[in-house]
Amino acid sequence: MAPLLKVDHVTMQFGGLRALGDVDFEISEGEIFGLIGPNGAGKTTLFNCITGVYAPTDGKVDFVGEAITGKRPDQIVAIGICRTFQQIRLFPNMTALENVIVGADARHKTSIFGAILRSRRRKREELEGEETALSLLDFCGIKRYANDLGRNLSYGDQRRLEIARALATQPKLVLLDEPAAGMNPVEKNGLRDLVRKIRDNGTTVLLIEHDMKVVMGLSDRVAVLDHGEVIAEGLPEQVQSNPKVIEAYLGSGAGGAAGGAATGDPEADDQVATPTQGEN
Amino acid sequence: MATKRDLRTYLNEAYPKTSDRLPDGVVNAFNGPYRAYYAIGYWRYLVAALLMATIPILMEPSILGDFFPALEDSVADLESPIPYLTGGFGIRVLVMTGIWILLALGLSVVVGMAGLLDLGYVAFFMLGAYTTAFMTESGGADQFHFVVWPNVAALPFAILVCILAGVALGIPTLRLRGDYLAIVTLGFHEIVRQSANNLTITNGSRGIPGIERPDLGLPESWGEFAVLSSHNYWFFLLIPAIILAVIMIRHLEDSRVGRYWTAIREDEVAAAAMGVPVVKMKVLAFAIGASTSGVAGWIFAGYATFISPNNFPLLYSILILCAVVIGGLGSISGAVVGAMLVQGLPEVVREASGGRTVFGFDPETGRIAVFGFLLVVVMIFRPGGLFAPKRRRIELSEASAAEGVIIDESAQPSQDEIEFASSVHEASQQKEGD
Amino acid sequence: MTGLILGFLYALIALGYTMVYGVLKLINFAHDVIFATGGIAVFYAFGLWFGITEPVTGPELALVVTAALLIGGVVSSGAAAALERLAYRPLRRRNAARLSYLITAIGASFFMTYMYQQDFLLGTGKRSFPNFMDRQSAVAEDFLGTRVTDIMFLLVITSIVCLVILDRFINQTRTGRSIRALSEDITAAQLMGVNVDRVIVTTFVVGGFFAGVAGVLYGMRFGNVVFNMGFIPGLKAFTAAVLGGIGNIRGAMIGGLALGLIEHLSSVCIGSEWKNVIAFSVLVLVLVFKPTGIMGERMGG
Repeated sequence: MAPLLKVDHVTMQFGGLRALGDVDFEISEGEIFGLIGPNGAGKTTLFNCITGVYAPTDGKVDFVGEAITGKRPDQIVAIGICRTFQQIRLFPNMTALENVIVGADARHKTSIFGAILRSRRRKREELEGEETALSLLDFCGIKRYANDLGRNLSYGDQRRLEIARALATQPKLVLLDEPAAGMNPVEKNGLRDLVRKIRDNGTTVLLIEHDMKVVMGLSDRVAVLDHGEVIAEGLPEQVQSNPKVIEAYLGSGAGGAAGGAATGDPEADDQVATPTQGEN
Repeated sequence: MATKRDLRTYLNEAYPKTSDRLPDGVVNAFNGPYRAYYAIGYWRYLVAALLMATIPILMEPSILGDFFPALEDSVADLESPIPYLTGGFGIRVLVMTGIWILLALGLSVVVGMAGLLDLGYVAFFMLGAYTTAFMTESGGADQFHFVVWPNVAALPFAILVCILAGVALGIPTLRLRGDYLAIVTLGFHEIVRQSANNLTITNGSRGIPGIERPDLGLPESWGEFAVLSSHNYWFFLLIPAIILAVIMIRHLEDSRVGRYWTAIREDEVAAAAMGVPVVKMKVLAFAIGASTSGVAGWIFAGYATFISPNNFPLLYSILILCAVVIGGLGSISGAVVGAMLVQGLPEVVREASGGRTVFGFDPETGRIAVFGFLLVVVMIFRPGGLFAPKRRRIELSEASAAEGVIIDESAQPSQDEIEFASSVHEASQQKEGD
Repeated sequence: MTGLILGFLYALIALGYTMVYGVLKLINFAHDVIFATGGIAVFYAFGLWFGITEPVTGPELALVVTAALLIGGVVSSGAAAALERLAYRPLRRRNAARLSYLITAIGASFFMTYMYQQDFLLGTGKRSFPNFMDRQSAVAEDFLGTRVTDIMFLLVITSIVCLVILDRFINQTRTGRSIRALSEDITAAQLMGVNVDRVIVTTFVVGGFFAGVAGVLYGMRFGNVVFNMGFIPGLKAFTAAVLGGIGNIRGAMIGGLALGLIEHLSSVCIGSEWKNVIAFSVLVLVLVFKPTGIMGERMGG
């Protein structure tokens, strides 16, 4: 069966820094695929390459057999891939409902003329958008916060909101960037259930996560990135006991944060011009 | 579009502090009219139009006599209840204010809805006016024209030229960051104005006189209704234009387009990641904003019948920005009140002082000093302006995570940052130790 | 030739834009008024208060000129510091959105400009700048086809001296280093113990000083001051700053000269009434196609 997503020898170079080197793997439809690796390994950079934030210096990315390399982020969404962010990027002054509706709008077609003239399509899509948003908020367990401003939600609920918003774009593949970061064990369990629900509902999931219990418990298959390269790939149990993987984590463990900083890791912050912060 | 809420609920959400200060009695008294106004749906715009139409009549009651000859005698001696802005003078101020309201509404789409700082907005106004002059009877024998058509035919072209200019300006510049975009729009304004000053087709700094007035084609037998006097400009051109602009903006706010603009303002990167075509949306904002100035330019050209580059100084771009910002970003009433403040109030002051200076300030030029000062004050103390709803004020007063933040020294570095810094320090110590 | 000389003026003003941008990542739109303030201060001090309006000669000339430049520089830096304190700092405290800074800057600029226009200050027309240095006397009658007056010569020399001083200041003093640190990474600089508030004020003061000096030189060169004398030179200086690489001090110098040259050439080829259009077009083109300018964005040498 043809893979849903094919990352084909992707390399990403920032000047002298090679953030990704010859990354190559595939994701099949309906699976939950985990992407792990020590701090600064290049995981978010890879997300950025898949979603069009960066254009890879070399290699290509195929989705459902078609090349999507170098397309703009909004085009990627139209094609059927959506993502969440490592450091939550909601629309803080919009309500939870409005946040999700913006996601749903990706599938709407009301044009500027339709908006000004209040066409029938616009009316239909407004109703649809609100319905979809409410049901997604419910799906993610935060329906009661629908009319609260994004900034006022608790951290865990904000993460769920980001996921709901991404799901509203009706993606075939959703990329979750450390969704469990900062969550307590109860919230993490809830998140695990949610991710399984997402997959069971028909959306393929690519997951970056640091919490081993979460990612190993959820993933069907796992790939390990270290210093921008795939050092292992396969079933969770296989990968966990792979000596190269163990060394990658233990070896860089002592100066983990320092290691991430020393490489001037551009992926440690996926924001535009902020001071670098250590990853979790 | 009936609203399901009470006045009190609306105030609590959008203007909570004001809501606290208003006693129940006052709010309840207005609740009836408030609900009724929205309950009648689109008819409320007709109500608004009628209310707007009463203004010139209040300024000069004898107008009624011109329209309805039967009333002529009874209204001939009525005095205007409005202070200072009376008679022909008052109506001229009203027409200019109306034109500025159109400009402020357009700019409020660009700055208020899409969050793009446009410092050269009046350039579009100018393009609209000159397009009108080029398409209808105007100027001397050697005046350049595209065609010479009746003035009303120039309207769609004035709008079209402005929209195209908006798109032309937008496409190359919208990747730029806020400050740079602002400066580019300023440069654009000056380029347009100086070119008008230098080119022969625009008759340079001498300007183009004798522009034909629009002929609404109404039969002569309609008497006053068929003549394009100042007050008729207000009645038949400005009121419809303003109402239509307001409807357009309301519709945009409540739609996918409006939401996309808000999303872009809040976090452009996240918006793009959710499928928002950012550049297209920004260009659209410029185009829509430019369209109202096209209408305003057409109206102005026909009303003043003389245009020159001096009518469109950069100063005016800034004043309209003041109007929108002080009035309240993201608020239609804000833009309207702002325009009235910036264009109408100085006229009142000038009349009231009898044309003399007020505290040493010349009303015409002193107003920009005053409004410039107010701009700073508003930004520091009430970022949203007068009428901005609470959400906009919060949005404007705090930098979002998406922007490069300008750090405050008294804010302590966070725990994360301290740990990070010490681990960097340790790592470099280790390295040196090796 | 005269165009190139104007380029030095642009360079001096551009320094202020570039430094503030480097440190705060903010275009100080009101810098044009800071520039004007210098010339206007000397107009008042020498012209109206002390009545030094006749050409002075000999060693007294050096004294008078130095005094004039210092007065202009100091008053302008004071204005710049006041601007920072009253308009920008409250926004920094609140961590305001970038749009707010811009709007405030515009408000401040227009407020001050049109205050100057009021009759109790300059009024609308041109006011004669005190003629304490003979405008006619020339250093060289024919240098590369132009008559170089004393004042023009002074302008060039002063600018060069100022630029050299600033370059050494930025690159070789501790305060200069702090400024550079702030312009590279404000959080890291904070963590290394830099007093951010103080460095920011210093940046404004230094940039303002040179703009003030430029204002005096402008008055001497053109013989008048006007309430809005800062606007066009301000925009052109900003263009120069961007052309050379905004945030880059040496870039500001190079950008100023480059712009002066471009203006001069276009004056000769197309006609001087298009000078401003050309300058603004350069601005737009640079921002659209190469926003990092000729020399890039790093402040230090």
